[in-house]
Amino acid sequence: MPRRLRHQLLAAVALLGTAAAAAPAQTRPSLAITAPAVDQVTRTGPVVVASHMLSGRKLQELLASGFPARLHFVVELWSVGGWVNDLERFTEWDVVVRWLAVERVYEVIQIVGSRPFSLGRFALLGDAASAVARPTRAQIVASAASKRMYYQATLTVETLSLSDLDEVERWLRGELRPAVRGERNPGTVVGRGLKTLASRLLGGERREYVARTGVFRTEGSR
Amino acid sequence: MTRMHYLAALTALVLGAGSIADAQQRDTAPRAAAAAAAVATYNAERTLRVTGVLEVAAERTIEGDVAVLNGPVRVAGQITGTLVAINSDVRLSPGASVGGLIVVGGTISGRDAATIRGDVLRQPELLRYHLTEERLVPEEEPTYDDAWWKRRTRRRPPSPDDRSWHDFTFTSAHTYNRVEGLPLLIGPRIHQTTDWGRFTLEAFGVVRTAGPVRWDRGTLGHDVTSELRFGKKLGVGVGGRTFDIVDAVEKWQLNDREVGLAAAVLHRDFRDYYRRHGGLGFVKLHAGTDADLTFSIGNERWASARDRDPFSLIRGSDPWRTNPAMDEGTMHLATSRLRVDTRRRESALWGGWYLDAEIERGTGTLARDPGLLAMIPVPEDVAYTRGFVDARRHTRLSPDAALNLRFVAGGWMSGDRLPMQRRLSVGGPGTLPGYDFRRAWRVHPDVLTCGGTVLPGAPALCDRVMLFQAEYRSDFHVGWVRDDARDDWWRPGFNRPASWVLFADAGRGWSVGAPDLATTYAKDDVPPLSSFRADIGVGIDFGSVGIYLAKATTTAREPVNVIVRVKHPF
Repeated sequence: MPRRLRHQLLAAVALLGTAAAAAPAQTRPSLAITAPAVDQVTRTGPVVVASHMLSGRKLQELLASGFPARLHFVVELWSVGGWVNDLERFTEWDVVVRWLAVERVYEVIQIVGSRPFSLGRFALLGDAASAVARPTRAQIVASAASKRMYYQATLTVETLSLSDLDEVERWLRGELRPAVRGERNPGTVVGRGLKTLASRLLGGERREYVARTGVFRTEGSR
Repeated sequence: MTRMHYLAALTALVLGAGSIADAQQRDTAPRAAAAAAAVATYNAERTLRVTGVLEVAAERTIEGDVAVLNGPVRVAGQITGTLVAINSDVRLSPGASVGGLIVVGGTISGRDAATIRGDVLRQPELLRYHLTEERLVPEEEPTYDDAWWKRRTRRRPPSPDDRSWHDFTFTSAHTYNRVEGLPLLIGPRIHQTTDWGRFTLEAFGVVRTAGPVRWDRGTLGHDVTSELRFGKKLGVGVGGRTFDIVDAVEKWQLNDREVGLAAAVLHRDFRDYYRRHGGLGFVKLHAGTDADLTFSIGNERWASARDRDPFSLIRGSDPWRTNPAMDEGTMHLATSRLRVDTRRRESALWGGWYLDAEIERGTGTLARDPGLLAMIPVPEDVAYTRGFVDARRHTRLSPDAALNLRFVAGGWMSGDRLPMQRRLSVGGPGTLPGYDFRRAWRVHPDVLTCGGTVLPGAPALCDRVMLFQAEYRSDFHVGWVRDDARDDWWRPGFNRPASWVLFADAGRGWSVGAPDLATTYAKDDVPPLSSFRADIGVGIDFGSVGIYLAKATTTAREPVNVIVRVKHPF
């Protein structure tokens, strides 16, 4: 084989390999946090984006089976010290995604503090995923003191158990919602519970994503 | 969008960020301006408002402004006015035409192939709002106040305690042991919140599944607790409890879940048990969920509980460790308990303090277990005071590293010798993992159980214990195992950062009496640190499960122990 042709083939294979590797990356769940501009760090907080979080087949199956997905965001502001870093502030919120079987829509709710806020109801899972991925500004700003700081975002994604679901519904509606209700087949509920029990025991249904900004200095930024 | 709205938005832009020269600059305009323009357009009288999906077909034309909440918006036709998309994505098809475009909390796609006659304003971050009589009102973003007392309320996750509810529950007690098997709890729960506080009632019947299952007190029991609490965050509660239960002697070493798993899977039960039947009343001063101080007075009958033969996955045909005989009789107990926990956070430990301190005064009549002596125990009057402190400090050194310290001390304070139910020990996965639980025959003198290993069941016999524990943990990622792209959720423990852990422990127990300077010391003495048993170890904690190696450093003959924990050691 001529050397030139061999090089072209190798290049083509490499390109294909790159493309193949890149393809799943396009829908790979990812968490990103962006610090505000240097002159804004004492006035506004970082922006957090969680992309493609509902793209997994297993998670989609669990959603369709009635298990809501819960995304718990924690954003921390740390200051850099000599030996030890200090946690200055943090904030946290939730996004809950659930399938409403009667209406055949996915409902996306953001919960900050104790207040739920609807991000919409969507017939398509992709639209629900887009709602989950809406950039959210975390309301923690750096202090004006001269410090080197950075933000860290941690996202925990999990499907809720029946008792968790019960708790969420109680909390959202403020009324009694036993886990096994009359309108559900109890056998199905138990079956679903057993199916996921082993996985839950070992933490297989909980994923964690971490993202961090670079270090910035707050000196003179106010 | 009407000219007035544009003027308002542009004025805001000019005031906020100076002049804007081109569309690209307008795209990155201050978010407040885009949001203000979006809200103004939404609330305008003539705006067509839509919640949810909006699709404008190619042949369709919408006159005037359109505002969409939560979308998405797909436009193939024409909108003569401005399209406002709030928390919505906008997808423009080739040939689509809109007068202007304001997108808040969403993306724009297909813009190059479409016609946008006016300006484009965009704010990437979503807008939080509420609707008041169809008017959209942006919510004020909370001002962050990091006063420490407000951190606590911010940290607390939403709780069902905030609302009234009731149900009839059927659940396990979340543990498993060789006396009860899997205890099942059945009964109603009432949680009623009011303006002045709350009322709670939990009335459980207890069914013990370990054979033989009969209609008697070995199988059936009850546990009923009720509390009337005045005050929300700060206040006082008054309540009572009546019970016929099987309780553990030393619950401080391992939690229910780990004890249950070890018993059900490995045929090892790390606790001893006794029967309690009686009632108590209590007054509880509480400060939110972080701290409470409880005073209780009760009267109860104690008895030994015989081990049965519940199922276990491994070594199920082997005999269980005998549940030791306990002292039997009737006791009046007066207890004060202080609990402070500033660590709590839903996702991770913030760092903080944990303190659990208890003083118990017991008086009554007990027939003490004679141990190896062949004699019939004679009931005797007993009066004792016992104290116990479990203090922990959790310190996060960085997002990925933490240093945790623990100090435990407890035991006899005054009066008669402690009942078997109140004796103590160390050794085992929860205290000194380098030493096997209740297998102290390689340790001489026996400063772990104070001689308990010669008795059936190897009960704890120490009057006092003291324990120090320290661990340093640091996170690392195991990305090479995890594969998000393939959506493989079945990788237990690898879906989050793991931690490597270094730990060290030192502790011992002793009896109080005529000093022999080995296992017995005078009531005012504390054994020298050189007599403490110590171990060191390493481990990997995958979050839901951790594997640790521990080696005793003060007893060379002790082999390396391998320990699996499903919870942080402390």
